[in-house]
Amino acid sequence: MRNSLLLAAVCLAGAGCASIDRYALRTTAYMLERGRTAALDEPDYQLGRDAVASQLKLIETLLVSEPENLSLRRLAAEGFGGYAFLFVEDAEPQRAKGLYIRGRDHALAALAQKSVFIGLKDKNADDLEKALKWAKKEDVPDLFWAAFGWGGMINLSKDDASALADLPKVYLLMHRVWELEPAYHFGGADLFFGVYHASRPPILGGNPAQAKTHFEWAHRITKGQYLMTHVLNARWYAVAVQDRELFKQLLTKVIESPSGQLPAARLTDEAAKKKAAMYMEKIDDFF
Amino acid sequence: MISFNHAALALLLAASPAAAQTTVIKLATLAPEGSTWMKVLGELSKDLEAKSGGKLKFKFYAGGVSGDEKDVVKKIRIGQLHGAGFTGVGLGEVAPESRLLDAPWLFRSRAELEAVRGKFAKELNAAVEKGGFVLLGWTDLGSVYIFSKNPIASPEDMKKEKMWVWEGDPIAQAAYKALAVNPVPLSVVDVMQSLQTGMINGVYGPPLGVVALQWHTKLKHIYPVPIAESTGAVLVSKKFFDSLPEDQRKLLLDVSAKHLAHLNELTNAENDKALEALKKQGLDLAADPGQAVRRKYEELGVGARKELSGKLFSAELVGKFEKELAALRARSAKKS
Repeated sequence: MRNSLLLAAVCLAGAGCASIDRYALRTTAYMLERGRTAALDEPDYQLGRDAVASQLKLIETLLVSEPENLSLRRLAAEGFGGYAFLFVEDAEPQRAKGLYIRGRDHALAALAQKSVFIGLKDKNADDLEKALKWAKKEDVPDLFWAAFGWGGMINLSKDDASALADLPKVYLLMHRVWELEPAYHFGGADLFFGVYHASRPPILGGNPAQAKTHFEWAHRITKGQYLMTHVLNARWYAVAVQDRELFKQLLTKVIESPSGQLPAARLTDEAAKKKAAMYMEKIDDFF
Repeated sequence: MISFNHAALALLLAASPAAAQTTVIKLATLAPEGSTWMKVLGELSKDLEAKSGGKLKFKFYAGGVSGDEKDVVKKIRIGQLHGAGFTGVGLGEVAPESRLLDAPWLFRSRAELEAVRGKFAKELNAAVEKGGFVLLGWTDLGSVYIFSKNPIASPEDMKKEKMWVWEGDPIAQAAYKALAVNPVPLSVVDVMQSLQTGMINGVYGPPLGVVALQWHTKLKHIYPVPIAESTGAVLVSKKFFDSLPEDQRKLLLDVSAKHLAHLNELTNAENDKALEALKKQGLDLAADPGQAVRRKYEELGVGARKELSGKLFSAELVGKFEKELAALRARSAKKS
């Protein structure tokens, strides 16, 4: 009520009724940001998934009118990447690839608001590395979700040489996150490098020992309360070193632990439990 | 009640003879889950299971989880695994004679490679069997190119470069010797760091391999004349193969041949795509140096094969290959 009175006043003051739209849009953007917290703390997997999906489309619609809105961009980047990882990639990998890329592109658009980061995607590795020297802590969310979306897509494209050829750039983006703020998103950079080093055999550049170290660091950052850490550790590290007992032990822990020990991870924890149960069922495919 | 249970049990057993007798072929490979390789092998296993009425299928150990190829050979010898998709490394262990297929500057094209592989199937199969294995199919791994930091315009230029050679790779060693290049021997695992420190500034490999290993970020140039066509193979142990009933042996060979031929088409297309991707990443593919230079490499190839004769393969087989290639080339010259 107060808002609409205020709007009317703005309109009467002759500032232009076009700004009503803008005002409404900003209010909605603010609501969506609050909604993010609510969605992440959602204990019901299905409700959380559906809520995120409907918010994502709304966020993109708002971005059409306000492409420079950084908080909307960040919601979109995190939303698409997270949605693809938590809810789509296991059942529909093809569809997940497209969603990951949308997440990446929103993050890159956020970065491109600084001129030094324009066109990052198409730079070669050397130039990208140079540009990334300018990155500061405030850029970490955008660097992280750009790498997360890009890396997620490549992980599902192991039959596509042109996608694989970009992996070194993803490495550089995530490495900068790791340098600037390793604790960001539950130690997400360490989780990325854990998967990165464990997902290839040593002869093809993999390094299980380094993977183990990164998973241990990630574990320390969240004191083991972020359940996805154990799921990724089991799926990638335990499989790489063919440690069936460790695989079972980690996944059992996830299935038996309460979700939401970290409130901002409740929904992710629920998804982690689903993934854990699925991997347990497939244990004989991995060992 | 007891007799009812017994009857039910008997019925259950009678109803599922296939499940009770399924033979699982345990096969290891370096190819990662989700790769074209694993997709095709997955289809092969499904097809085999369907056509054998559920009696025969594969279980794959992908992404190198069974160790490197030398470990895998040991595991097959003790019966822990039944077979593998090998690269030249594994083939060198079990059937060194077959490495003639990888010899430097031997084939001018994949078509020549395939023609010769077909023509000498008997000799090559015998080499594989001598090592205690049965061939399910050759797998093309791609044309091997030289990638470098500095531009290479001629064979002489390579002498100035610090070229890498894979420790214990006799083929590449012989190729470098023919070029009078003194390479730096290193394990694959150390290549990336050595490129970074400048200990080496040139490597070789199929484009897809270079992309998978991500060496391309440290390289700038691609030399357009391949050193060799690299060949791998899917093999199963002969002891295991012989333990199968005859109809299953035949089925395994037929179904594998079909799917592995398809895999070769896809791998070749993927290597072409990888070469394009490398160009897109900023690597420069040098212009073709022309027929005269290509012939010069072929002459160097003759020397390299002599060097390897008696070590990996016999001079006799080399002679047969060379004669067949000369005949093939004469025929195609006549046609055009």
